[in-house]
Amino acid sequence: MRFLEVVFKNVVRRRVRSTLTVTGVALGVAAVTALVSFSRGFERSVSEIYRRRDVDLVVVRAGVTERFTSSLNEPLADRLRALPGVAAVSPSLTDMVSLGEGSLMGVPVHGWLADSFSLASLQIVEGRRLTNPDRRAVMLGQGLAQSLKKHAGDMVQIESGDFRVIGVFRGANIWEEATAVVPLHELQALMERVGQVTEFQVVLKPGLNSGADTKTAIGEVAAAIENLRDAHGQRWGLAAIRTGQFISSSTDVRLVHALAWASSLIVLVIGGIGMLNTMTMAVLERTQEIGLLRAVGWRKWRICLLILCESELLSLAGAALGIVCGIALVLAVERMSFALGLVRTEFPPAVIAWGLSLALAMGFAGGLYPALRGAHLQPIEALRYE
Amino acid sequence: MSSPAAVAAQDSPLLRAERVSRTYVDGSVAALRDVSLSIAREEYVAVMGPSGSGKSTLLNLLGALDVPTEGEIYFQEQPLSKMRSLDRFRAHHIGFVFQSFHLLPTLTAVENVQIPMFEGPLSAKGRREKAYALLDAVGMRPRAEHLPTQLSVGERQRVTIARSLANDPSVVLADEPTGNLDTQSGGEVLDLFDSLRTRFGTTLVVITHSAEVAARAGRAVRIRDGRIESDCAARGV
Repeated sequence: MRFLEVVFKNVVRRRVRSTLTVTGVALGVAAVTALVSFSRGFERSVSEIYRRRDVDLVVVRAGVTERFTSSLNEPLADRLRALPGVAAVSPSLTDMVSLGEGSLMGVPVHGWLADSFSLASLQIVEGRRLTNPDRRAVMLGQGLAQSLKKHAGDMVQIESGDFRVIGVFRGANIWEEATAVVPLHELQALMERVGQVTEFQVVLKPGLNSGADTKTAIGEVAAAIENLRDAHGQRWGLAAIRTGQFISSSTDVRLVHALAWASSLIVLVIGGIGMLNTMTMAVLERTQEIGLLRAVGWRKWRICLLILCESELLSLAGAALGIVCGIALVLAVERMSFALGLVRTEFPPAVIAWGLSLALAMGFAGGLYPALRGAHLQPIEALRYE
Repeated sequence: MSSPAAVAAQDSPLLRAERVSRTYVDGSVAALRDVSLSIAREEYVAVMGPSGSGKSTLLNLLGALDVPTEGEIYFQEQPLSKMRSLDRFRAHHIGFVFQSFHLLPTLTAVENVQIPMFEGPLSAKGRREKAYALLDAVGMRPRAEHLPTQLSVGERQRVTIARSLANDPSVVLADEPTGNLDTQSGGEVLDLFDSLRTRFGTTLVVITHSAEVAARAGRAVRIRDGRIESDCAARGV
C-alpha cells in the first residue's frame, strides 16, 4: 500500500462527509468559473464590436481612463489618414444621452460620419443607413428600438431635439444593440462639443495587420500617431492603443474583471473556512486514529502530510466537479434568450487553472491548521480521547 | 565467535526502568512512584494490579508513549531521554496491542497491518507481502480484505497483533489484550501469543487482570498504588 492510497481510502470511505465537503467546494469553484468565464466573455463581446469593424488602433487623449471624457480635435483625422500604413480613420464622438422624452437615461449615442467604415459595418434590419444629406436623423440598435417601441420613420426625442428614426440595426451583442447612431456633426452640436470627438478608430492597410510582424508594424504606426505634433512642435498628447488593450483597460471591463476576482476571493475565504471546519472536525473525530499513528511511530510531518493531502484531495475533487458545473452553467445561460450575446462561452486554460488553483489554496488554507493540530497531538492523550 | 560487547548486549536487559516516577496534574497525582524493573530478551512478563494502580502508566513509559517525571527508561542500556526521536524508537522497537484495538476504520485488515511499516524500509509491494505473511501467522489471511467493522472482536485483536509485529519489534507491549474478548477468543489470543513467542522469539509485556494470562507468563509483576508490590515467577499466581 502506498501513502496516497491511505489518503484516498480515508476520503473515499467516509462518503457522507467527503460528499458534503466536495459539494461545498464545487459550488464555490462553479461560481468562480462561471464568473471569470462571464467576465472574459464580456470583454470578448465588447471587443467584438471593434473586431467587426476591423479596427486595429483606437486613438484617445493620453492619460484618459474613461472613454467618454476623452476629447480630441476632429481635424486630426486628416493627419492620421496621411500617416503611412493607415488605411482608414473613423472619428467617433460617444456620449450618454436621454432618449424618448427622458424615458431612457444614460443611453450611449455615437456620432459618426456617414461615409465611415463604422457605419458601414452595421447590419440594417429595418429602414436604411445614414447618408450625408441626413439631418436630425438617428439609427437605433434593435434592443433600443424595442425598448422605445420605435420603427423606421418614427420620431424620437434625443435630449431636447427631435430626430427621425431612419434605420434599425442589429448589433454584435446586447451592448451594441442598446446604442444609437447619429451624424457626427449633429451630436457635436447637440452636446455642445463642436469639432470634438472622443476617439479615432484606425484601420491599418492590409498586410500590416496580419502576418508575423503584425505587432511590430502596429507598434510603429502607434508610435507615429503618438509622435504627431502641432504647429508649435508640441505633441498632441494622443494615445494610440491596440484594440484588445483598449478594451481590457476600459473601466467597464476592468470593473467586471474586478468583480469576478473579488467574488473569487470571497469564495476562497468562505470555502477555506468550510474546509477548515470540515478538516478540524475530521481531526477531532479521528483523534484516536491519529494517536494510533503517532504510537506506531508515524512522525509529525507524515501526519501533517496525511491531513493536508486529504484536504487537497477533497478540494481537487470539488474543483473538478465545480469546473464542470461552472462550464455547464455558462453554456446554459449562453443559450437563454435574455443573455442576448452578453454571455459567451469562454473557457481558456487560465479559467480552469484559476479554478484549480483556488481549490488547492482552499484545501491548503483549510487543511493547514487541522494538520498542525493533528501532528502535535500527544500519542497517549490522543489514544485516550473520547 | 561473538565479540565481548555483543555478549554483554545479549546479557544486558532489553528494557529497564530505573527509579521511575510519573506524576500528573502539576505533580499532585502520583501514578507511578520510584519503580525499577528489568525485562530480559524473550521474556514474557505479566503486569498485574487493580485499576488505577499504575500498570498502564508503566507500559506507556516502557513504550516511549510517555516520559517519566523522574528516573530513566533504558533500552539496551541506552537512555530513552537521550534518543533523538522517540517516534523512530517506537516505530522500530516497540509493537503495541491495545485493549480497544485502535484499527483504522477506513482500511482493511491487510492495510491496517501495513500502517507501521511506512516508517520502515520496505517498498509498497514489500509492505503488502509482509502484511499478508503476518496475517497468515495470526490465522487471518482469509479475512485480509475485510474492514474492521466486518470482523469479530477476536479477529480484530488478531489483526492488531499482526500489526504489532509489522516492523519486527524488540518487544510487544499489550494493554489488556483480552479485556474486550469473550473467554474463547481471549484463550485464542493467548495461544497466539505463545505461538508467536515460539516462532519469532518476541519479548512480551502484557498488562492483565486475568490470572490465566499471568499463569501463561514466565513472570508476574504486581503493582499497587504506583509501586511494585511483588515481582516473581508467574506459576501459581
